[in-house]
Amino acid sequence: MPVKYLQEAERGEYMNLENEAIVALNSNSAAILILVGVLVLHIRTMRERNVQNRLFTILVITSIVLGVVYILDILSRQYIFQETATIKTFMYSIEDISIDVIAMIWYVYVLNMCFGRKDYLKRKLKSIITPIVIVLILDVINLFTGAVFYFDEQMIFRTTFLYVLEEFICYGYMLASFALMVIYRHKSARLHFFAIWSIFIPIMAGSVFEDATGYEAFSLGLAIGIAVWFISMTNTRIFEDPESGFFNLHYLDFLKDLMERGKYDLGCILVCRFADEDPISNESDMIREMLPEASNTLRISRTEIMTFATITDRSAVDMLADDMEMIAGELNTTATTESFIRQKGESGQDLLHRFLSGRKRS
Amino acid sequence: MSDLLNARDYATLVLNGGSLLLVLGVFSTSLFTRIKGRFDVKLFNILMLLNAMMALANTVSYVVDGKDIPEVRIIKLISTTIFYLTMAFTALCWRWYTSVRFGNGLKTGWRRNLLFTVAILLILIFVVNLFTGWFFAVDSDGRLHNGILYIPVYIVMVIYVFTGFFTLAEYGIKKGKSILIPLLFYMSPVVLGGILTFAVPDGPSFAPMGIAVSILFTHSGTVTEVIEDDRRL
Repeated sequence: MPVKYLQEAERGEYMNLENEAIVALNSNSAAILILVGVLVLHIRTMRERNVQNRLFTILVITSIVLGVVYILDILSRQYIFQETATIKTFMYSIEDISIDVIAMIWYVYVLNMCFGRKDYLKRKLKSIITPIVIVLILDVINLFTGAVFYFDEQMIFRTTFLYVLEEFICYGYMLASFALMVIYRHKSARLHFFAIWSIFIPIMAGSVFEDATGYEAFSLGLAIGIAVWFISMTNTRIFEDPESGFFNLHYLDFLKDLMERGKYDLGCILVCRFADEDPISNESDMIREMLPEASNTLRISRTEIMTFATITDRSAVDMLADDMEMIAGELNTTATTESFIRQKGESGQDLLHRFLSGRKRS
Repeated sequence: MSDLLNARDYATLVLNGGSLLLVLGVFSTSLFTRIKGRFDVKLFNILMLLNAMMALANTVSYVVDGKDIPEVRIIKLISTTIFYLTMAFTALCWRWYTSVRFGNGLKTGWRRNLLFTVAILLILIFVVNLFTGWFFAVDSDGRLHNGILYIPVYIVMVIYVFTGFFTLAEYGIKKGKSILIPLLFYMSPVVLGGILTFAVPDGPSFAPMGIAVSILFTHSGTVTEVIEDDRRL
């Protein structure tokens, strides 16, 4: 039996390294398998190389690295060789950076869901990434100086004040994410889904299992969270026009389904035709900002969008139409609008039916 | 608890708990997919449900294995029966799903009749096995022993998995090479899980996790295909 194994067993630090290695190997291998699959599918389906897609790629790669580091860490405990302290410091550094990067990317996603503007991430990314860069520099310095954490002669893990600061960065991102989720909880069902399935259930389950039994399951929880989030992202893409970020015509079926189940009360439909496609393709954020909160906007052709809203007040709909025309004017183009409002005794489904049959006839 | 459970039990708990979470996660995303009411979606939901049941039954079956607890034989017998039953039905459901989603939907009568006959036969075998031990038997210590029908039933399950696999490959070839490789990639976790389970007899069962990962890949691939079709239009 390796000497270090005996030392650690004597200290009671690990209940049983062989057992721990078996469980860690199983859970991390499963996590890596899931993540590699997600990475392959993500790269295959990535339509545009925007900030979000790049960050998701980084998130998956970082999580794979974390899984590999966990396996190497657990296996290195079985063997003793002179460089163990250096190798362990190096692995712990990678682990620290990986967790910080993952927390940062979660935060960016929550931020994006709360303020979903196309240019928002581009503007804010530098300030969001800065703490990670600081952690990276600190960890590189730490490899040579032990200024953040180190292993002493007995291979016991020691930390300094800088380690607390470094840990705080990760918790800072997480706290900021939770705060945003609470503040903007009314804004989007996707946010709730993200919170529940990508963070709370899998990662918490992994962490709770780890705390209760001492066996490593965090990375598997993380992998499941990422996988479910990837599936959820892919699902929502079915309904999305990639160029403008508005919904596509598939969403109409979903809206019909919602109305049939009584979960959406359609009040009006506003169709807006622009003279050219520039306002929809490049300035969709401007249009989105002006639309009422419970509305759904679909792109139905290169130059045409239609907005479904719950409002039934004629003057409010007219104001919305005027705003659309005004935006077109600001973008040096023109727009024509046509509105359909629910009449007395008419249901949302009747209105949609009237609108669709009118369009078919024309 | 740590005295009662060994490393294999913990590994089983982690892997099966993980597969259960994964399947529940994928299932809950269907709330966002909105492609409801289609028969292939229903079959896919049944596949997910079967996988969740399989993971639960497998966990109970592995954790009680060889343990000194009362009624261990009965618990082991019931949980293992549920495990094999869900496994067999996963294979049949998989065949049906691939046929509906990627093939002709088992429209020819004899194939569908054969599928239903095999399903009924399997249920009969598992019920009879409770009293005879022809498929598997559990001794008084809660240890599992294979019966004379073990290999034939496994062969039937493998045949159904592979015929589903061939339907998938046929569809891929018809659609072009660009789709064939990803389709085969979706199946790789099931194959890997099966190989690992046989290669490491004293290890945990990798089957529920392998199937759960395949479900994840297949679901994602199916959705991606819809998006790609839209793009082409």
